[in-house]
Amino acid sequence: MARNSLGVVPIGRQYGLPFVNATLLANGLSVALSNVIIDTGSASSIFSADKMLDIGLFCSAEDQLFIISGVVGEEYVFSKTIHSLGVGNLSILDFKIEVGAMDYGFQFDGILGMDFLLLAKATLDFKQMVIKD
Amino acid sequence: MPKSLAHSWEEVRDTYPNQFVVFEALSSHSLENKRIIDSLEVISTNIDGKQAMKEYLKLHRIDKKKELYVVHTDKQNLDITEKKWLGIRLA
Repeated sequence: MARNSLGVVPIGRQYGLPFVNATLLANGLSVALSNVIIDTGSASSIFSADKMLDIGLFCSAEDQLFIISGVVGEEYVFSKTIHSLGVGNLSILDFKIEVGAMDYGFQFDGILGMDFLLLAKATLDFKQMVIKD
Repeated sequence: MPKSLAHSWEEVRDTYPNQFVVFEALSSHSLENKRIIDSLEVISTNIDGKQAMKEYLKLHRIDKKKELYVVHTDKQNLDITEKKWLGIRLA
């Protein structure tokens, strides 16, 4: 997705949901995430384990473990503090994410939850269809 | 690939120190927002965390009803917190 000089990132739409591109840094490597859902109904942010494997990110003995119970069944996730998560010029350092298989029947790389949106003081502009600070 | 039935995380830690294990919870229960694993079966072990994670993902995708985990045995207590997810509603 293009980014203009103000660091404003367009919000795309799929399945009636708002999607953005994000960049995640961990292990000294960065991974570009497309199709990240903006979800004010999610307290935390979760990303695809497959994408995280691309930058060598997997669970370690220090990580906290969770079991998520949802409408599609149950799924194990672990939480990890990554170097940074960025959407346009919104960027949070030492951000804690959850990582899981995310097999929910359609393709997306992650969920940008309220934790990120609040820390980044993000403005969601559904008139211009952009996310910005 | 090693295979064994084990009854507790302590036993697994003793048997497979310093590595990753993919295991299935054979029986578990909930207690005050925590998932307590009563007995588990080790499905595979791996020194390499990336391979262990791949193995977990493969097995999870074969049967999503199985309660599977991938954990490093340096972890003293599993300490699994339960979270509710109400889901995303698609158009």
